[in-house]
Order: sequence, then structure tokens, then C-alpha cells
Amino acid sequence: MSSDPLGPGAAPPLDATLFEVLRNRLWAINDEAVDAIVAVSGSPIATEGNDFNSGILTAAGEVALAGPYVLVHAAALGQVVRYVIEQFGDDPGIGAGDMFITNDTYVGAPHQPDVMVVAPVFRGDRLIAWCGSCVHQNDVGGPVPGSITVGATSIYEEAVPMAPTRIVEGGELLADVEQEYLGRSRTPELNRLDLLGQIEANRVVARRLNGLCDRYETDTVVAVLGGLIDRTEAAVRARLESLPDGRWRHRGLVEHDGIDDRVYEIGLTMTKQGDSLHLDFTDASPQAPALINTSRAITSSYAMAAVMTVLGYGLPWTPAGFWRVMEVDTAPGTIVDCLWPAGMSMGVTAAGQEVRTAVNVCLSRMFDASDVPDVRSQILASCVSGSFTQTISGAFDDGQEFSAMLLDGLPGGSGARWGGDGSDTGGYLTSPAGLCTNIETNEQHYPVLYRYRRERTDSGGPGRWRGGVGVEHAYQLHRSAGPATSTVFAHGQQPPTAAGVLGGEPGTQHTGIYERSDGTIEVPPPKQVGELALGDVYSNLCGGGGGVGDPLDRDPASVEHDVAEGLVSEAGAARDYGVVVGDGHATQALRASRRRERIGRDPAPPLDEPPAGRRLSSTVVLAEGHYLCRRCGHDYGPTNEPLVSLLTLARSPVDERTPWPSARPGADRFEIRRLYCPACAVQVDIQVALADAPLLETAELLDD
Amino acid sequence: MRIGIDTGGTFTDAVVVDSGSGGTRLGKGKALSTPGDLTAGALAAVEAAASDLDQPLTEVLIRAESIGYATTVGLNALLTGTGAPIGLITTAGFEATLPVARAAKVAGLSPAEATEAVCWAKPPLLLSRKRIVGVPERIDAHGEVVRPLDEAAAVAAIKALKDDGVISYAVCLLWSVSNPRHEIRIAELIAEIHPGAHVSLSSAVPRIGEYERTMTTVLDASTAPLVAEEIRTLADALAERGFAGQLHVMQSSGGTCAADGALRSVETLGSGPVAGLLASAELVQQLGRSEAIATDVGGTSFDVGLITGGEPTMATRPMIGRWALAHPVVEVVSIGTGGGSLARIDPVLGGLRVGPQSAGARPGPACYRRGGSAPTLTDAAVALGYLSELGDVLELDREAAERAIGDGVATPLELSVPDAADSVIKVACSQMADLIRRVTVQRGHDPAGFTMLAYGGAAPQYATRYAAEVGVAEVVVPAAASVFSALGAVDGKRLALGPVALTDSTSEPPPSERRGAWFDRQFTSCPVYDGLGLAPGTQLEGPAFIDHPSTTIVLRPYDRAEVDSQGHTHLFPGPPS
Repeated sequence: MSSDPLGPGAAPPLDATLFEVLRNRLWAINDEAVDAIVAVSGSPIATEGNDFNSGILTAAGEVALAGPYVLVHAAALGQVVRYVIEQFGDDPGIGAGDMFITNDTYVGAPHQPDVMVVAPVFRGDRLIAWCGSCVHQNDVGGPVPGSITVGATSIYEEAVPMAPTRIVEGGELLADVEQEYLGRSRTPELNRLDLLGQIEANRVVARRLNGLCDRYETDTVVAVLGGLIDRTEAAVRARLESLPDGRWRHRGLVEHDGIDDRVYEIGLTMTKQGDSLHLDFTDASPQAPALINTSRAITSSYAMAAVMTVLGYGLPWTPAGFWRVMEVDTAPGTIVDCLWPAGMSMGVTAAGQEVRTAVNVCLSRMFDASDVPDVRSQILASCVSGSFTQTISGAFDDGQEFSAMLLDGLPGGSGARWGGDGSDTGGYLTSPAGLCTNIETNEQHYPVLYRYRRERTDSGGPGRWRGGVGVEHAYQLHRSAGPATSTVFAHGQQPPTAAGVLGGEPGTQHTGIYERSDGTIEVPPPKQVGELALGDVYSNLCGGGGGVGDPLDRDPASVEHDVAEGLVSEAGAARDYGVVVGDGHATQALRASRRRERIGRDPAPPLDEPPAGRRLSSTVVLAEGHYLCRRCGHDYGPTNEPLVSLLTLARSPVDERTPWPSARPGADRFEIRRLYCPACAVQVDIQVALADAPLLETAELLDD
Repeated sequence: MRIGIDTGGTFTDAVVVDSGSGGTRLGKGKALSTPGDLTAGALAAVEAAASDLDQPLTEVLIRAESIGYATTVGLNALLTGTGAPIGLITTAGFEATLPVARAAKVAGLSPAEATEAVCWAKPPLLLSRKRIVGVPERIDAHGEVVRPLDEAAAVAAIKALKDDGVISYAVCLLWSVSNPRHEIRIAELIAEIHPGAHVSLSSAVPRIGEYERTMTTVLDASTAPLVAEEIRTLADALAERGFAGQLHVMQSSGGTCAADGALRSVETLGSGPVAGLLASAELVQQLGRSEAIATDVGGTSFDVGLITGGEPTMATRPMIGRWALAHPVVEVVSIGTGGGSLARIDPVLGGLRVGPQSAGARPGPACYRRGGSAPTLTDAAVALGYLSELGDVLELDREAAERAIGDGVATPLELSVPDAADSVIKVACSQMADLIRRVTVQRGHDPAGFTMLAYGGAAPQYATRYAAEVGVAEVVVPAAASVFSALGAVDGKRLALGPVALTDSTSEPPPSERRGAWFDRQFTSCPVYDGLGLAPGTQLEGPAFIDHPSTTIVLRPYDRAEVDSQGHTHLFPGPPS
């Protein structure tokens, strides 16, 4: 640590009291920065939907704290700051009062509408910290309003990003750079408000940190920032150390790249050994031309956000403490590590979401291998992934133009957890504070009239614990001058993407539906620039979260409660859970016949106690070189063979629980694979895959 | 003669303001709240306040022109899930407004829950989806009827809800703020079909945004029968004892409602702390100031409100518990730092944490000797000699406090017990200062330009410390600090209190005893003054203590105090500790 020109040379000891006092102050300072942004923000997406974040970083660009808003933004701040340090640190140098703006997805901005403004914090001539924020803008230029170009063949046909650029120098806002930035946008006044808010937020942080240094030693303040990260890192490593060593896999799917209805795969092999966590994403499809990719930077940010939310239970959410323990591998030129000039204007809701889901699912499988009940209580299935986003633009009947991104796809279902159902319409895992707008707010600002906002029956992934149901909306134009341009964007319309775990089923797929004024039904592909005419109704059916555990093990009383609440239909209760509402005997009989159907014979009875051995999952233990069923004790076979090859396999089409996937051609490219114990028929695993893809060995233990 | 009553979860406070010929006299009373029978606690508190003026209860009630009442019954019912069986009638197609809750899954969670994904959940729903019924009708953003109300469907909905045992109805239709016609018609139908049932209409809340409006209407319907019952019981009990004046109920907006008027029970939720802010605004005006920070340290929380231009400020995103509100509410911001807050070592970061977990009233701090052994903020104050008793009710066990601080804080941090206790107070006060900064700075105010008020049981113990931390130059501990919310509830509105004569004043300020207390890393023998015995104009310097019946003012070295002609104690904080 360099000596402090304004304080004594040696770092003072960091006692527990001072550490806590300063930790609280740092959080309060970051809250104040958030207030500064929200107070002036011109972006309804940011203020109504909480689509922003703010953080404080060390002098080296490690994120010491960030708000609970979009966690991907928090990780991205670190990448942008480190890029700025690397690129400009020596030449031309970084000075007090400088700030840098960027929406460059190759550097770290999650997608082009996310504009980041970062600033160094100086104490005299010593760099002591960084700060910054990320705010979703209505428009940052490019060919179409909203800056998300469906059909782009490269980033040149999207909003071309602005690489990190000094926009404030020595405290002065540079008018030429400001013009260059705002001139790109269709909404320059709104963007300017956000810019000023973000600049003010950085000034607040710089001022307050200097105030802290006045009161305490500068070295102490610096030491607390670093200490937060060091201590969190140590705790994350200790937690990893306590978890089983093994390798877990997941493969996510993204269909349609905006031009062709191709399928892109994102495979993750997560290896946990000792206190290290290795996330290998090299098994991914080649990059798409534009739209759906993520850069290596965004992939890493998403992975970190998922690791922090799932692995970080009960730990301080110090982003860099998690960042340090993760090792992320990607292969250049793939959908998760795209190379210039690949575009990625909506990669954050395409490849990015599948990265999150893969990490979430693999961590939960790792927890399932643990012998510690408290660890298993943290098992979480995937939340909704890739639901329909829509931008509409047109004009009110008085001629005034409008353009909007609707947040109707946000309240998809949350994933179930071990011991509890997922939050119905709870939304995404990595945006804890994300909100959808009120219907009245949308109708006040745009020429639309909603038909309904309701909970989508049967959309939650069935399981012993059910995934949360998704939402569904329908609206039509109202007091509009004419038709509106409607751009939809999603994936997971054909393959279910909200993965269940421990034999839990995935949440249902989502879809958009146009009901034309003549009664025709049109199901758009998951990326489309279309038209909404007067008299047409557009519906957005949002997927549910994944389930946890075999649905035939769900307490029938819980199923009946769900039926009473309208979250599960009577037909769904029978189909998904083997429950005949109001008839316990019929339920027993139905469940028994379901189990028989699974394996083609009478199932073996469950044991009172699971067989001894090394736990692989809630259904499998390893003993003397063999896999045994934890439920019935059946010997699946030797562990030198892949477990999946020893289980009973059943293949199903992807439209078994909702008809919409087959409303368009191509649903038969995918299948659902269920894997059962050949003896007792317990559902061990479910995989959604391309029909010609091999089975995935989703869990294996490494030698102690 | 006027009376104010504030029922809290643990204590009910009352004041009797007697504006007689010899000036205004203030009687203060406290009683334990009686769960299930809040009227009993209220009467007991008024009786205590009356006896403080050497008068019997009935005499005071007969002479009282008005009683202002801040109740907690509605909030208690919500928090314990014992609200009324309610039904919600809404626009067909939008039955899910409440369960969707705008996807809010972390709003209102504790910081610990907010960072544990398996804890995320929507706010409690308060009613089954079966009791949310949609009725075909639609009004657009311009207030025009797009689809007329289907009266037959409305009738069927009401009958179905009635048959299901509903006794209270919430009606929230889209855009009823622009055109309440359909809601009003549904209310008429309910009155015909289910006479006597309670009806809450969302059009009573003039705010766009159906989720917050529905939530507010449902909270109202769910608490209305209980609140009405409680007010009725209290009114009857008061009338029986001779009270013939006006009974007013405090509202969280800062206003009041006549008990027999169109009371909206949702507006009584959280009105106790708001009453404290009203009393603060009144006091601030008397002192000739207009900008103030009102602070209240209770057993489990630290509450801050702001007075600017002489008026309490309103919340921008009001909430009660985890539920969003749509009506204007005086802002009171809280954190979980209070006398009962537990001190512990953070197992990961190694920092010394204070709160938000609390020892509560039972077992309470270790020094209460009620079975608690974990160290709390109050134990730290007791271990340092700042406190020896809790009013007249409880002797505090210093050895138990020292043991708790020793085992829970001093030993793991390798500090002496007094150093450890001082650290606990330092962390707590820094959290309080952070909240004050946030409440002021967030609105562009510099706390240095504000007067601070400190009331509630424990605020005067810590006030100079957190005031110094944020640069406030003057703290006022009101004469009625311990029953300040009850004082704010008097008459509900701003009342000109006039000069308050102390009931028991003498001209000589005798330091009644000396107490050994820890300041500046050593134990010093400090004078202890009887607060009630201090004459106006008395000036004191720290280190010293001023004991009042239910609170103790702590003066650190370099803190100064001066008693004014109204009996308020003005504190001038020295430098930050």
C-alpha cells in the first residue's frame, strides 16, 4: 500500500468497530448515489423498473459494494473500470474529477442501452477508489427506436457502442463528448437527465469518501474497501471448501437469432474442487450475427451475478469477493464470447439468461450432493428465462409519437426451492428489486388498453415443490392514430428454458400471440418485427419457474390448494402431479399407475433409510463402485459407466403441457428426456435438448 | 382539558393537558398495553396521567373536551394475520393485481433476507384468490366508460363473497381515480345485498397505479371492522366514565378523523410515530424554529422524521410493513437499532454488528434479568454506568450487563469490557447517524442547519453522540419526551400548548447523587441530577446525567445542557466521540 500524502504513512489497525462504522457509511454513500440517479432520471424503465445499479470499487477496480438492483450491472462496473485503468491509466493518464462513459458491450456494458459512467476517486493526488453506475436508456441510437435491432447482421446494424470515453475532465463536462453521446439518441433530453444524474452520483461518492478520509485515516478507508473483498473472498472460499468436489453440467438453448430460426447451445461444465470454482463455457455454439450474443465480459458478469445470488446466501454481497474465486472459460467466436463485429443488443436477455440458468442449476446440483441439510435448503431451480420482451412504437390519435419497451415479460415465475414453492410471478433471480409497471401507468403513457393481467395457470414447473407461475397480459391499441410497430424478442418459446432440478420439471414455455381483428391467430417467431393494427389483441404469456423434486412426491394437499387458488388446473393436477382433486384414493391409484407407466412394471417400495454411501444427489449414492438408488436401494450399475445410461429414459415432445410450441414449425427439433430409477420409478433428472444431442451426465463427484 | 393516548405494542402512553387558570399543566402516564383489550391499557394510562395531576380518572374524563387516540390495533392485526375476512371486487381480467404485486419480492425484507434468494417472497397476500372476484366493466385512462358495469355479475360476486363469509369488501376498479361511477354503484349493491358490511372503495385514494391503490384498499377493508370495534369499545368505556367530549383518531397523514366520522382504518396504521412528529412540529414552532430532525430510539428501532418549513415531510413511496400504500403518509424512516438490539461479531466480515436482531421485551437485554444473556445496546449503556434503572419500573443489573458484553463482545474482540461496550454504542450511533444523513441529505438538506429533537425512552441516552456525528449543534429533549407521541395525539391537530408548568419544580438544582461512568476511556465520578428538580435557566456541563422518570439524558464530557422555561432540556453536543 502506498503512503498517504495527507495522512500518516502506516496503515492504522482496522478494528472491528471502525470496520463496521465505515462499512455502514459506505453503504449509505452508495444509497445516496442511487438517490441522486433516481431523483433526476428521465428513464421510466430505470425508475419504475429499477433497471439500474450503482457501486463503489477499489482503486484497482474491484467492486466492493453495489446495490440490490440489476446485479449484472454491478459486475460490469468492475470490468469497465479495469478496462479504463488498463487503456488510459498511463497514457493519457487519469486525474481527479475525470469520468468515463461507455455502453460498449465488448468492454462490459450488458447491452448497448445500458450506459455506464465511472469515475476515479482521488484523495489529493492519490487514487483511493472508483465509483460508477449503469442506467438503462430508452434509446441510444441505431436503426430502430429502443436500439434493439431484430434482424441485424452485425453490430453495425445495431446501435454502434461508444467505447469508454472521457466525458468529464477535471470536473468539467466536456460539451463535445456530451454532444457526440446524446446526438446518437432519439431521446437526447431523457438521456441527458440520466447522464447528469450519473455524474452527480459520482461526485457525491467522491465528496463523501473524501469526507470519510477527513474524519478517519485515508488508509483506513482504503483498507475497509479492500477488507470487505478480502474477508468475503475468504468466506466464499471456506464455503466452497465445505462443499462436495464434483463436476456438474447444464446445456441451455437459445432458438432464433433474429434472422434464422437456428438453435444455439450454451453448455456449462462447472467444476468445484477445494476452494475453487471453475465455470467452463467453451462448449457453446458459434456466435450469431448479432442480437443474442454475449461478450466474454457479459458472460462473466452474468455468471458472477448467479454465483453471488445462489452460492452467496448469508454472506455479504461483495461482488469482487465472488469474482475472485471464479474462473470463467469461454471460447472466442462463440455465442458467449462473440468477436467483433458480432452484435449483442439483446444478448443480456438471450445468451446471458442461459448463462445465469446454467450456473444456478449447476450450483443447486452441487448443493444436492451435500450431506448438510442447511446447504440443501438453498437448492433453487431456475427462474423464467427468455420471456417475451416487446417494444412498440407508433402515434397517439393526436399525432404525438411514442415508443416504449413494455415490462410485461418481467414477472415470470421464480424457481422452486428445497422446501418451498417458487414465488409466483416473482421475476428474475439476478434482478431482485426489478419491478413491472402498473397497467394504469402503461395506459397513461401509451395508447393501449389492457384486457387482462393474470396468473398463468399450470405454467409453474411441476415438482415436489412447484415453480412459480408466470404472468399473462393482453392489450390492444386504444386512442392510437394507426397501427404500431411491434418488435418481439424472446427465446424459450419452443424448448422450456426454466430448468427444474432434482427431478423437478421445467417451467412452461412463453409465447406472444396476435389475435387479429378478423379473428385469425398468429404466433410470431421469438424474434420478429411485426405490426399491431387497430383492433388486434397482443397477448404475452410468460413462462413459469422450474420445479424441485419429483412432482409425484408433492403433497396432494398442496396441489389441491393450488387448484383452489387457480394456479394449477384440475387437468394439470392429474396430468402433472397424479392428483385427483377431492379423492385421495383415486390420487393414490393414479400415482401408482404413473409410476408403473414410467418403468413398465410395478415399482419397488421405498426403503425406510437410504443406503449408505457417498451422496451424489437426493436420489443417488455411490457405494463400492456402484450407483445406488437412495429411495429404493436399487443398484443402477457400476460408476465407471455414465449414470444416465443406467436409468430408464422416456422421451416426450415439448408441447405436452402447452400447445403453443407447436404453433410454429420446428418444435420437433427439441425433446424432453425424463430419467427414472428402473426399479422404483423416481424421477431422477429431466433434460431439455435438441433431439439429436446426446444425454448429458449432469452430476459426477470427484475423488476426495 | 385535553387528553392524548398512544397505544403501542408494549406500552400505552397518555397525557392530560390541563389549561387551567394557573397555566397549562401536563400529566403523563404509562401503562402496559393489554393484548386483546387495548381499552384497558388506554384507561390505565389515562388514569396514571390523571394521578400525575393528582386527579381521579373520572374527574379528568368528565372535564375533558377532547381525546386524541393513536391506535395500533390495525397494524397488529395485519402483522399477526388476524384481519377481517374480506373480499376484493375488481375489474374482470385484473384479479391478479394483488398477487402479482408488481413482481416485488424483496421490498421490505430485512437486509439478511434480501441477500438470501430462498427467502424472497411477495408481501403476504391477506386474502385467498378465491375471494378476489372480477366483474366485467372498464373505464379508460380518460375516465370514459369503455365497457359498462355488468350489474348482474356484480350482484353475483357480492352474493358469492357474502356466502363465503366475507364481512368486509374492498372494491378497486381500474381508473376509478378518473371515474368512480362503477365503484360507487358496486358499493350501493353491497349495501343492498349485505347491509351492515364494511365497504372500502379505492376511489377514496386519489392515486394512479392500481397495485398500490388496491393494496391500500384491501388493507383498509381488512382492518376496518377491528378498528371500528376498538374505537366503539373505547368510546363506550369513556362515555361510561363520564367523557362527553370529542374523540378523534390519529391518522398517518398527520390529520385526524372524528371517531364517528368517515374513518379510514388504513390511515390509522403507523399513526403513533406520526403523532410524535406532530408534537415535534408543534414544539419546533414554539421554539421559533422551522427545520428539525425528530429522533426516537425505542426498544427495537430508531425512527427519524424531518420537519421542514415547520411541517413534517411526507413519504415519497409510503409503505407499512411490506405493503405499499397509495395515500399520503408522514414520513418516518426506521432502522432496526434500538435499546434491545443485539450486538454480535459478524462471522464473515469480523465487524461488530448491532441489530437489526433484537432481544425484544422478552427476554430483553441481559440487564433486565428476565432470562436474556445476549448483549444489547442497553447492556452497553448499563455496563458503562450510564443507566441504573428504567424509570421506576425496572432496576437494571449492571453485573449481568457486564457479563453479557464481556462474553459476547469483549472476549472475542480482545477488548476490555468498557471498551467493548463503548464500541457497541459507537456502532449503534454511527448507524443512527447514517440514517439521519440519509433522511436529510437525500432531500438536499445539510443536517448542520437543523435542530434535533430526541424523545422516546432511549434517545436522550445517545442523542448528543449521534447529533455530534452529523454536525447538529443543538438537541432538544422535550419535557414530555417519554410520552411525546401521546402528546402529539392530543386533539390530533396542532394545538397551542401554551406554557407548560412543571408539576414538581424547585428552584435549586441539587446534584442528587454521583455515578461512576466510562467516558474517554476511563471511569469518572459524574454528577446525577434529578430532571424534575431543575429550574429554568439551569446550565450543566458533562460528564453528567439528568434522570427523568422514564428516561436518562447522558451528557458526555464537553456536552452542555440548559433547561428552558418550558422544562425542555437543550443539549449542545461537544465534538464527536
